[in-house]
Formats: sequence, C-alpha cells, structure tokens
Amino acid sequence: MFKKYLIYSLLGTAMGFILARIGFADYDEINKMFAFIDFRLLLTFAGSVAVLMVVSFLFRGRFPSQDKFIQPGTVPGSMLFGFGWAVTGACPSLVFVQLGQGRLPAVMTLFGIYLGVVLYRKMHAKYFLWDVGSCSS
Amino acid sequence: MEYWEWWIGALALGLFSVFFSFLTGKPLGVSGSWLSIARRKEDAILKASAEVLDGNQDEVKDDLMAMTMAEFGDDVLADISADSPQRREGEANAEVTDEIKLKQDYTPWTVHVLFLVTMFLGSYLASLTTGDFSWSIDLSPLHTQIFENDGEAWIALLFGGMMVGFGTQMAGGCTSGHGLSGCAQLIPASLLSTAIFFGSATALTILMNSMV
Repeated sequence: MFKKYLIYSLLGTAMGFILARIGFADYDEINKMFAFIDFRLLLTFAGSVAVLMVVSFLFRGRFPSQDKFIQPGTVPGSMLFGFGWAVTGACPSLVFVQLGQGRLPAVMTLFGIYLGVVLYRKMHAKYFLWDVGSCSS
Repeated sequence: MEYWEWWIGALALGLFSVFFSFLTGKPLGVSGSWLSIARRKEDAILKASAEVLDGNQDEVKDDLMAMTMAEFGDDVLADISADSPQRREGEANAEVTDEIKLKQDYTPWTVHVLFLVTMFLGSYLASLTTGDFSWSIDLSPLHTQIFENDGEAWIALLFGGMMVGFGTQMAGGCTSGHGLSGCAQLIPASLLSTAIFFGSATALTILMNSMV
C-alpha cells in the first residue's frame, strides 16, 4: 500500500510541474485559447492526445480500457463544466497548479469545486438515478 | 514564466499520461480523485468488500448460494441436483463466471488527496525553478479586467468552481478523463463531452471578452 502512495505522489508532482510549465493554469493563456487568439495551448492539448493515442495503439491490450458511455448527464454536465472553466480558468487539476503559482483567489475555486462535487452527489442520489460511469481511478 | 513550445508540452503531457496508465493500471482521470475524496465515508465499505473478494472467493460463493436459498427456498437445491435443462444451462453459465475473477481494486481516498496535493507541490517547484513564484491576490490581469473588482472576482470563482465540480461529476469526467484519456481511445461519450465543454467555454469566453 505504501508503494501506491509513493507512485501517486510522484505522478502528482510530475503532472503539476508539466501543467505549470505548459502554462495551462494561466487564466490569460486559457482565455486566449478559448477565444482562438493563440493556438499554442490548443496544439499542446491536441498533440498530447495524439501521443497518447499512438502509444496506446502500439501497446494495445496492455492499456486499461474505460467504460465511459453517453448518459443523460453528459451534455448538460459538460456544458456546465465549460462555463465554469471559462470563468475560473481551472479544471479539477488546474486549480492546484494555480495555487502552486501563488494565485490566492484559486482558494475560492477549490472550495467551489468541492461544494459542486458534494452537491452533485446529493442531487444524484435523490433525483437523477442514472449511471454516470465517472473516472474510476 | 517562459512557457514551453507546444510540441514540448504535447510530448510531456502525452508521455505523462502513458506513464500514469502503466504505473497505476488506470487511465488518467482527475475528477475521479475528487469523487473518491467526496465519498470518503464509504471508503471503509469499499475496502472491506475488496478484502473479502480478494481473501476468500469460495466463501463469497457459499454466501451467495445461502442467500439464493433464503430467497427462493430449498427447492433451488432440487432444481440444481436434478438433471434438468436448467441444471445444464446453469453449468454452462457457471463455467463462464468461474473465469471472471472476482477482483476489486481498492485505492484509499488518502492516496487521491496526496495525488492532488503533490500537484500543488509540482507547480510550486516549477515556479521556484524559473524564479517566478510570488503570492498574488489576483488570478490574472485579464481576469481582474473582466470582473472589475476583487470581491466580484472571488464570488465568480466560487460559483465557477461549483459549476466545474458539479459539471464534471455529471458528465462523468473532465479534461483529463474525457479530453485526454477518453479522446485518445476515441470513446464516443468522451468526444461528445470534450466538444461540448470546449464549445461552451469558447462561447462564454468570447461573450466575456466582448464586454470588457
């Protein structure tokens, strides 16, 4: 079990470092990407999808498969996430990268994300009963 | 901070997600880590069920049999022992289910906390090594320009964060789960989700920028 803690903390550090050096957590850069003023981040993202796609094709069978499927929450959920991302410049991992760069207001985003996750769980259990197939990591 | 050229970033992020999958046996997905933290109270149940399944598979099967008998009565035994069509059918099914290993992988929620906290550390190290670290009360110059004063900006961030948290759970993934891991495997739900969150973010960004 100790190994798991070690692996995840090394991976977390690497991910934070890489995202910071890419500039993915910089609100101005994110804004320029969404407004199609600058294509650097867009190319970075598309490029990393391509790298992952090629490697997972070469080593197919050894890569974990996912069971993600279209469910009633896919469209409204993604739409809400997009609006939130445009306002905060953060996705669930970028908020930590912003904090690591000393951006204090990201504390509010952090609280917000936690509240949102908890609120969704409560509402899902009460009103929406479909299966969301969330990332099971 | 001088940011990386796009191809350096693409190689780094792409290879990182490859290493993530190889080392953890799971596709990269950060909103799953948030979920795991939010449901930490159920962690004991998940852990116990994983241990039971790993520990004694025969015992689990006996328990399932006992529950079946309690539900349907002892007649079930007669049905199974008789050389009936159901029996033969059941046998065929049993052979199939035996091949499926009852295994549940359990990752404690504290591992996910560590993963997220070290992401903060990694980013901090990046800004230290480039000599750009400083505390600031604004998110960015443009963000301040859009939201005019700090109070408004901070409240917008709280509600924006709630939309991110709520939306990623509802959509079943985020930038990493849908956008990176899902799109690389060409999963329809991930392609749809990525197209929609990019689209809605673009629409709102253009709208906000036009009002400045």
